Amino acid sequence: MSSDPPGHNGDHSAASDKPPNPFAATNSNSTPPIAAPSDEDRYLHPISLVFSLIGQIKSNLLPALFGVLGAANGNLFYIFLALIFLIPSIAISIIRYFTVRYRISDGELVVNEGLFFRRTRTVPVERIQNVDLVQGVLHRLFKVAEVRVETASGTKPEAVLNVLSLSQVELLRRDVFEQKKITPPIVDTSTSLSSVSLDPEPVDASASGRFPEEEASENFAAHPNVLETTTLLKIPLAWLAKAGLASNRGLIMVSVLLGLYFQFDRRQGRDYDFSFLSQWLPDLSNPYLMTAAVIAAAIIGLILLRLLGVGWYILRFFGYQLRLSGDDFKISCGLFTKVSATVPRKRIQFISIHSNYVSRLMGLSSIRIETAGGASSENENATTTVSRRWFIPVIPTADVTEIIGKLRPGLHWQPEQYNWQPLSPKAGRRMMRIAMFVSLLLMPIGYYFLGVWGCGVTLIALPTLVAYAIKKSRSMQFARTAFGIVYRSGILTRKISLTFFEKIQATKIVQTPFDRRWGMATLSVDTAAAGPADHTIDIKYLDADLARREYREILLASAQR
Amino acid sequence: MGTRHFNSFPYSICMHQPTNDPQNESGSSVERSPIASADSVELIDQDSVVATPVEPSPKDFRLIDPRFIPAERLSSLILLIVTTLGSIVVYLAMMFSDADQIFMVLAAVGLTLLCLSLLWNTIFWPQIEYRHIQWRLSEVGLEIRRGVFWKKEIAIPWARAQHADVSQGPLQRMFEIGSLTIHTAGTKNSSVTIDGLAHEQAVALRDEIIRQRKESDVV
Repeated sequence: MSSDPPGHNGDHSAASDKPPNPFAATNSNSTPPIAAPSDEDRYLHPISLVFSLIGQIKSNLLPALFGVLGAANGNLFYIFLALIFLIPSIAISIIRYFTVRYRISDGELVVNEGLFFRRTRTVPVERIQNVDLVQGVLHRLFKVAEVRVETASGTKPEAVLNVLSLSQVELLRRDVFEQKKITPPIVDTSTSLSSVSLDPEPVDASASGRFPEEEASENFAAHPNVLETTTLLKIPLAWLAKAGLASNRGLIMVSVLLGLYFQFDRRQGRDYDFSFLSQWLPDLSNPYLMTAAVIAAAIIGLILLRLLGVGWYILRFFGYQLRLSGDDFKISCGLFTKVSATVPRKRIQFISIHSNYVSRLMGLSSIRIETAGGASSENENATTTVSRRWFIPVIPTADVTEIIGKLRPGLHWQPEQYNWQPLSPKAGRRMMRIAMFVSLLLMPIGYYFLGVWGCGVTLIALPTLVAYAIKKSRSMQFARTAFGIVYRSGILTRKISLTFFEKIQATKIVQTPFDRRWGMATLSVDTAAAGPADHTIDIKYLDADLARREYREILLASAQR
Repeated sequence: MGTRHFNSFPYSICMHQPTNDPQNESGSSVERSPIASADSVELIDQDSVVATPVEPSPKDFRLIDPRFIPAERLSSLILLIVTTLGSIVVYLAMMFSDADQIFMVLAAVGLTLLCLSLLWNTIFWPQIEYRHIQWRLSEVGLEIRRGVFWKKEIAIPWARAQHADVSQGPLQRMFEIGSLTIHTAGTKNSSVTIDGLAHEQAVALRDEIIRQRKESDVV
């Protein structure tokens, strides 16, 4: 089947040449769509038309808004404009719905699409890492999901099927994992509404029918059919609320909203008139009252911001569950938009534990991970955001050791006991010098804007920056341990990151002319993913001799695995 | 695992390379003279090759092919000629458009300095740069050192090389040298390039890296 030319897709006679799917033969108690032969063409769910249209409109949001706003005013031109953008969208949606088909045959997922320009995408099943789901409110209403098939390579999902019914999703997942010779994860009823019963016989039959005997038995031993699914972590609402309080998410949301508001408002050329506010406010001519009002407003604003943060966390991570099924981590969370994502354990490249000042007071941390295969920040989507940037959005710091042990079996995470190497003893002085230089540079700038008093900026900036530089130079430390490299930094937001020798792709040491004068060097290691953790192992101001020694040691250790 | 890769590497192909080893210096220059232009040999035979080691180094770091120097010179020369002609045109244009005297002087000084720096770049820079690109194959993998002012050293373990390409520009083709680029699954340093290897050596290295690339996933 893999030799089929593109466009040969609707050919059912080719499909019938294949031996009947053993799954279908033995799994008598399943419903008809589930028992369908796996290499038959399958189509998107009819409701895709709607979702596709929504997606089209979303991507043309601005012209659509223009059109709608103008059309509301009865402007014919805008109606015309709206139609210009709407009609192709509708046409594209319809064409997409009728042309997208996919099938799994001969160990490959084949996705056909296109009417004039036909495209056949073939993804070998063993390359498939994740079959991730995204479910918004609408998706859940219609019991469908957007499916993203991800492989290790590239920054985008290899194939996006938008949208499939949940039973189709389950079927796809099952076929993929069956072909991968890994038994499918236990279907748990909380995320999928279809009830696929996975008794041992079908997989056994498929193994003996399709694969050589010894491979099948070995496979069977390696992957016991019923995978142990253990729930590692459930995040209660209280933790999410605390995490929201500690985070600055609210601030980001407000700035986004404000930006949108002003942007759209200015288009209509409206003047801002806040005088109407005065009728609700007391007379503020009294300077004390004024000060009090400003302080009160600031406090209220701050509380509102924090509450928004709480809201964001709850929306995003409500019902968060981290489960381990075989060798894969499964995450599911979300209040309205449900996300379920899979992270294979051996793909984890980098683990980063973050805690900001407030969350440290509350004894909480968050854990980010990086996996191979993309997730560059431009191509983030709901599943990658959750599975990488917010792998564990909040966890008590006391539990971190245990969960790291789960992420990496055999690793006993004890950051206090590592042999931490500080920066060069002169690093503080060097960073201080930079701070002094910067604060002196501020002097003419301050003078320009504020006159003589502007020079005072330097008086404030100098001690602050110098103190910051010293603190920062002390906070940056790294350790070479038995498993890999650990690096920590940060004063207010502390980050500890670890990577493993077998994940280190390249080791590098750089010496700038300044470095040479100070006897320092920069040591960095490169891993297959650097982005979501927001913390790269790129250690500046190390003592040159130490850096060179460590460079050698890291290189030797990473070459041996 | 590292040792296996190391032993299977066809060392013969890189043995004719000059090294920065002091004992070897005279011998290797004789060896490479058939392929190198007389110009470059003369330049390398000055003790400068060993005068500035990047660090107290293991002896087996190799220099790249000396034909890198004439190739770089030629490309710098082209840039120099284009810039000089451009400067003359600009200056003449200023002269005929009755520009201010001060601007004329400033332009003359600036353009002359630009051309002189490019001249320096053509005559002296290639051999300085040449001395500061060093590489070696060891039991751990491929190690590269480069940089005159900003000194960088990067190492890629054998098992992490995903694939490798050889590229050759028209000037490089004239001098039969090429660049070898090694790709890893990494991000910041996902591709590492050595310029100025003898082309056939670059090809042999590439083939070796591809041959040794581990079948299993490395990420």
